[in-house]
Amino acid sequence: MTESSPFDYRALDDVIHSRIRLAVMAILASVDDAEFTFLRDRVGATDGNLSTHLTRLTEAGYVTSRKFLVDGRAASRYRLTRPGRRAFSNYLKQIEDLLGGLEP
Amino acid sequence: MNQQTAQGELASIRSLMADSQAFLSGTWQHQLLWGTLAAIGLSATWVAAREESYTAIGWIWGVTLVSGWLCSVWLMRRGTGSPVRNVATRAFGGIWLSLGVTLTLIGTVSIYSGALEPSSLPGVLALVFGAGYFASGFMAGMPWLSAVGVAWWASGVGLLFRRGPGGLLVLAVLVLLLEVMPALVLRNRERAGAARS
Repeated sequence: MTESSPFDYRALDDVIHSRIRLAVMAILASVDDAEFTFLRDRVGATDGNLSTHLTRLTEAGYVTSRKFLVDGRAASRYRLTRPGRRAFSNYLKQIEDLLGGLEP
Repeated sequence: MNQQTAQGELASIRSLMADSQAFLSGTWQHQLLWGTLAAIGLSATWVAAREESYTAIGWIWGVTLVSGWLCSVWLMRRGTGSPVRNVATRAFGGIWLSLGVTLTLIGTVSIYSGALEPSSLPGVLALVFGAGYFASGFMAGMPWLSAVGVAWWASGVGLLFRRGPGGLLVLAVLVLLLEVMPALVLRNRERAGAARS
């Protein structure tokens, strides 16, 4: 398999290329910011699972979080960073290129 | 990754992005607050006007407007609005903040400056409400909310043709029917949506 091959999945960003992380990135790319509960409900993940994926995205510098209080309980809002937005845009382009490459 | 997987992935990404962009909630609190305050203020004004106690009218609206704006600021700072901030919530918030300021200015400055007859006020306010509801419903893809806007416009036209002291009481009833009720519908829908997820 050559580097220009449309099936070169190794070129895809490994941080984004997971079903839950991709869904989180897609949601955050279309909003200003979102609460943890909103992401959890939209993605359909458990609290622990989503938390693990969000940590991975935060460590990669793609997402930032801010804690605040709502009715006395702690809540977190997540937002895509500029590198995160760029990485997501690149990821989409790679998939679109892949589809273009497969067209007869 | 094959073509089918990639196409499926792209489709689900687009669907998630479109849903999240259009998501709208947490807008009913301000409507409920202002609707309740306005209904009380208008009824109290109607009573004060009958008693010809014009100083009381100034106090009623001073207290109503100051407490309303303080509560609105408190609601905004409390951050209990929408669990997501997006184009829809920004546009909705912008519409109602600008209309809130417009309604406040029409209700105060235009009366004290003498630019507007007090008997015309209920009709003019109803027309402004109509614009807010129609635009909100159109933007949020809720035809029933746009219909509320049309009902406000029709009521506003009626109030302008039939001006009189009773207009205040009619407007108080309209606020209960066309502001408080829609706020309760939006609250119930939001709670039903939360329960489903």
